[in-house]
Amino acid sequence: MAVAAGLVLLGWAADIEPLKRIRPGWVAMNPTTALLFLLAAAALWLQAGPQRAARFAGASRAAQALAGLVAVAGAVKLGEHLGLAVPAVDQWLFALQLAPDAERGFARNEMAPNTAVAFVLVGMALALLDRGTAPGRRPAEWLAAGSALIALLALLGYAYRIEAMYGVSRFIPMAMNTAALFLLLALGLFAARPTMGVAALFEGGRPSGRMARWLLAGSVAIIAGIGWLRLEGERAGLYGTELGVTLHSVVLVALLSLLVASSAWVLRRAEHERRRAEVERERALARNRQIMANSLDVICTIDGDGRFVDVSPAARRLWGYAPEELAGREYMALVHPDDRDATARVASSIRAGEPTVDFSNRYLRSDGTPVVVDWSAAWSEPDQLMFCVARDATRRRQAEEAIHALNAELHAQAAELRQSNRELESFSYTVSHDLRAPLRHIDGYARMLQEDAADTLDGDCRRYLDEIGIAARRMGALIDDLLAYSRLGRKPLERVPLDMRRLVERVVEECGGAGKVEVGPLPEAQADPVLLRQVWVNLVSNALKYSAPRGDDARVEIDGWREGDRLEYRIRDNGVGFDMRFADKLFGVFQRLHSQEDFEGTGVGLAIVQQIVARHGGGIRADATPGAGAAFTFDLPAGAHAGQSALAREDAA
Amino acid sequence: MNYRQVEILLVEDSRADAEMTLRTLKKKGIANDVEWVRDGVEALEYLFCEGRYAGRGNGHPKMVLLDLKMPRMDGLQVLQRMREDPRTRLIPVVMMTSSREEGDLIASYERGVNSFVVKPVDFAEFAETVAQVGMYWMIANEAPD
Repeated sequence: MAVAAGLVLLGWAADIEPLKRIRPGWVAMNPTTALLFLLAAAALWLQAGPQRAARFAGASRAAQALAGLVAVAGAVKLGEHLGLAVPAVDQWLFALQLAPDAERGFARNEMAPNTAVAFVLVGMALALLDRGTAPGRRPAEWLAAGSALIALLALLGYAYRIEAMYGVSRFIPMAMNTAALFLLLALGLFAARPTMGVAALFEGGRPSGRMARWLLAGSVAIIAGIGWLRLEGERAGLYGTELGVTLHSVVLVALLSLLVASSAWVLRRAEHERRRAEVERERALARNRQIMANSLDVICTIDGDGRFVDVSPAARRLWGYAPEELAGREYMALVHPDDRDATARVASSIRAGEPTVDFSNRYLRSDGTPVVVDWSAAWSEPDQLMFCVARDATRRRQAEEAIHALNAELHAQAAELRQSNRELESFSYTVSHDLRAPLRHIDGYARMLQEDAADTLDGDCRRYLDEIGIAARRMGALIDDLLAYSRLGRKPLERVPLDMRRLVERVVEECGGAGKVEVGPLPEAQADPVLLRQVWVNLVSNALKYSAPRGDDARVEIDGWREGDRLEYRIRDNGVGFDMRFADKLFGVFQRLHSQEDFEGTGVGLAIVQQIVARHGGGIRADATPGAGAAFTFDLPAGAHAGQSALAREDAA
Repeated sequence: MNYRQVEILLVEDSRADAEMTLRTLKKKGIANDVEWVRDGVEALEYLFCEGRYAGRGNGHPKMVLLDLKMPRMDGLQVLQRMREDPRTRLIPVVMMTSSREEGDLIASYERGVNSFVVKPVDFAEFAETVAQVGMYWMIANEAPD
């Protein structure tokens, strides 16, 4: 716009006709008018936006000054038109060039009164650009609209070729370029603040803004066009005034109806959308309500004053109050007195913005009994409500207490066991020391007696002394075995991968069974090597002992295999065997199925074997035929299950 | 006053065990001069020439047979005191006890015992053990003077 005004000034300066008046015979824009346009443009530009104001310090101040200038100039000219004795503001600029126009027969080129009025309006609008925000409350927009209408009047006058419209009586009418520029300026004023006032309705990419812009532009164009058509038609003699007016009205009616229809259609669509959104919202609310109603936990909202707003039906079960009873009540009233301080502290931290997830307190039910409640709550600033979920923690508490009690019991039991073990340790210590000494003395003196009194004693006496010694030594052996049994039971179990075959072969060699024992492939096990060695020592020495009567025909076979998740190991001999009727006694401590004379032994070997195998989580069974031999089979768990089954079996045993 | 050279100091609280040990030693001719004391206190008095043994002038035994479990002061304590005193530090000590408890074994070796032997119930074995121990320490083994 500044460009256009600048061009006009240039035109006056250089006397270029087209720039001044566009068309020959048309009124030229007064130079002062052009200058005022420039100032207005500058004022508008300075106030274009917040960034501009920031870039140029005092921009708004300058803009207001410029605007003031424009308004004052217009007012002065108006005053002149009205007959006031004021200086002629429009004659000073390019005064020289103004004269020739007067000579050429034009009326003196001066600023038209409507131009002056328009400048006043525009100047004030520019000054008041930032006043008011709501549509209809912005003075700038009213003022700008006023000047736009004035300009429109002039423009249409030009378009309809009505002389009277663009001038007021005898004065030089508003130049067309002036009118166009006023229109532009008005638009610029509206556009300067697109988010405020009426301009907001037309702005933006939103459907409503776009539609408004198109509709406005369209209707202005169409209505102006129809007016022009009618006038031209009348002028050309196509029809008279009455017909012209009638046609005009009819077309306008049609146009307006169209507009109304399309607006109504758009509105209807918008209504539909809104209705749909409403329905959706209702449904969502209903869903929410359903969820709240079904929830086992209490879902509730508490306002800023600490009162219940909404409480889900679960409150009846948890606290014994109906939701209606609780609405409006202060929640703190239900909190157990001892927990109120803590609750208040947590509540204020929630208000401050920290949602809590793990807070527990006690509430008093309607019947006075306390109930432990777990809370999860958060504060919503826009809603000014605390959203909470409460859960009955009674069961949780009970479970926790049960666990604590169980733990305490286990600790106590473990302590007892440790104590028990310690007592056993010292017991066996005592046994090994104190019980052996007298036995040694018995055997010793018996022997010494034998040695010293050999001559004076007869066969029987000497035999008696033998028996004394034998008995004492036997008791020593028993003690040794008992101690071994007890010690092995207390030794901690070490599970490592064990090459069973190598172990067995070594044991066989140690027991002197080299030629008589056949060892087949044996599966590797996870077991304690020391204990398993003891097992095989006992089993192999037993097998050799009880098959010794066969002499060179004695045969012992050892084999093993895997069955499912268990490893089986078997030792078979062709010795004397035993009576299956007494098989269950076989593994008892000190239990024997043969006499001491026939086969030496204390009867603790198999008991030890059974104990060790059981500790590993396995079992042992025996099979025999008297006179034909015996077979002992024990199994161990394979791999990872070993630990658990050991515990289970010990419990069962 | 006894000037005979004591070769073995037997520290044993059980009269029976002592009798059997002495008899065996004598029979096998390992040592003729064995001094028998009945507990740790007496043993130390003997070794350091104190108390009732004050002023004994017959030097140190070539070996000490020490029982573990004794009243008043047990074998471990005697051993400890012996090893602390330069006069008795180098005397070979053989610990004899009724049972082979790992704890006793380790404690004895930690205090510097030379040998640890278990007294078997079987008298024949017992005699054999004593004989072997005696033979070894008195005859085969070289000890400082």
